[in-house]
Amino acid sequence: MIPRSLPWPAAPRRDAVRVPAQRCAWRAALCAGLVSLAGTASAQDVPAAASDLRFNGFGTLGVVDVLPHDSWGFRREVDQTAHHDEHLRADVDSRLGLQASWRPDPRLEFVGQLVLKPRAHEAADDESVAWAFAAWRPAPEWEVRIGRTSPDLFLLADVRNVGFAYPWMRPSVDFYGWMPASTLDGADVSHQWQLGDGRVRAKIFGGKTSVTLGATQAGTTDDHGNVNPLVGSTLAFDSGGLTIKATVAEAHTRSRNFGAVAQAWNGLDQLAHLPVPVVAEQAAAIRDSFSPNVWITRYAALGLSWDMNPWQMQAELSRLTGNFASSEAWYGYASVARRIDDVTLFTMVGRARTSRAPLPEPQWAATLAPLLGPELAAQAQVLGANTATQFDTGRENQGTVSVGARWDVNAQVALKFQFDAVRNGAFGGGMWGFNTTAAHHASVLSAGMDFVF
Amino acid sequence: MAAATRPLSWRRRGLAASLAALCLCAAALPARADVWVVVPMSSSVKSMSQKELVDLYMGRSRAFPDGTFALPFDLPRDDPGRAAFYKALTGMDLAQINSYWSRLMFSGQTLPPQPLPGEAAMADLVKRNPSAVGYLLQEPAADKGLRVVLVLKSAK
Repeated sequence: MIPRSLPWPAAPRRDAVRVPAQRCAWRAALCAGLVSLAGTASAQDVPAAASDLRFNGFGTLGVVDVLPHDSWGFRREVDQTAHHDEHLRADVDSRLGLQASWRPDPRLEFVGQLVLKPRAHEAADDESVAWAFAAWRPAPEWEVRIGRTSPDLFLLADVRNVGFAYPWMRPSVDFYGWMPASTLDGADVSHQWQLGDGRVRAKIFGGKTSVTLGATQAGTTDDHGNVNPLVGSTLAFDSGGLTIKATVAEAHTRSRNFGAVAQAWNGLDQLAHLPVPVVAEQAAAIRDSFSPNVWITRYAALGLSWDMNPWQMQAELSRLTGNFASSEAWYGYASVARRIDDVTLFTMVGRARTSRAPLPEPQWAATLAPLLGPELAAQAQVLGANTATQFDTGRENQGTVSVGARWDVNAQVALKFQFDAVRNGAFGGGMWGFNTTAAHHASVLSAGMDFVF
Repeated sequence: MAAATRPLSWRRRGLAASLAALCLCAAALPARADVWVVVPMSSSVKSMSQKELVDLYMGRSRAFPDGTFALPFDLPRDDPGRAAFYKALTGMDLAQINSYWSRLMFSGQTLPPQPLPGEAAMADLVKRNPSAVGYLLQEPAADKGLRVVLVLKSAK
């Protein structure tokens, strides 16, 4: 929904980031509330009335080894800091979630959830608050939620963090990995009704959010963006084990480093108007790879799942478009799983592909020196090269084939193993950190334990 | 000849005895009616289909067929009775049910049915709440203030 990378050259490095005090206070209050609810959770053992207070949680302990041990840094989501490591990494999949829910009446529900996991270095503390909303149901078929929820973009709703909910180690990186927005401060309204043997659910949602994308290249810092508004709607049909879900959404994103973005765009625009056709043409192409104004992205997706014990099948396809070149992409995956007693064997294929071709690598210094002087020509060269590199290393041309197994040790703990063969075409490593524009093949070995309580 | 028929005769007697024992055991067992789904006598619900109950207990619907709010109750997460109920209702075991519900609960969609400490609490609370629906592993006595709306057969 928002740019996978926020394109501006030479982002200034900051050694320390101050989190606004009010955000810290909010998080502290929520933490205190969760702890307080946890302390009284035993109240559910003596349910004198319909009031329902619960304290639950989930988590994953996982390790990953990526071969070959080169500079490319594997990550499952773009809000992670990507780094390469010659040892087992536990920061890719490990996470802990705590949730408190209170339903004083069937018509009213309050939910708060914290998700603790390794994030980008400069991520604000309040990004750990995944849920903080009140739900009101004026009638059984209607629901209104206000507060912090999640953009309802995917077939799995938003259980990307809850490993126990799905068979794989992680949802398809090709399909889910690019999406940095996991929360939405706003409201949604949903309605459901019977249709034949199934049920239809329709939902509209809107609000705002902020995102922090992990640094992806040496010498760069994390990227920050404010998304406002993020609006969308979903239509889903459930019948037996079959679910079909369609989603459309639109997001308007503004970089927090907007001045630098506009400055870079204006510089490229001036170069695009120079009377040097080769430079002007390339500068125009690089300029159009991002927008000097609000970045608008539009998302459309269709998902299908079929859960017919012991078989589970799932597939999703999505299309991303927008008002700048790097936004346009296709994403898709399909998965088949078979349960045999307590073991589930699965396989999955995924694909991600940016629509626009790579940008040409500018060689402007020699051509522009007679016209602008050596100093300005060098600056133009740096501006063009940095921006083109940002686009080219952010492009996605990735395919993944996965196989693995899940073993339900008991009703609350599952052990998993997964092997991924990841293939990136040239100029297609955008999901990786510290990637190059060369083609790349990698094997990802993962093992982990998922639990709920 | 007699020597040849004696073993056959003993076998027949043994088979007859085994069949008699099986019949006696079958008579002593409940007639494959393993889970009784109950609502309070004050409820407007007179009967339910298995699909309607699946919709309630799997979070697909929040209402009884007549459109009134439903309040389904459950047994504790690892209770064997809960395992028997969901196996009979959906054919899934507890790990699958917990995985399914973790998808709904932790994505903020809806909460699973409220767990109660045991069948006694279930019967007591269902009896006192007009919107409630619950289940018992033994047929409730007629004077308990509960109405059986569905009987689930045990899953093979």
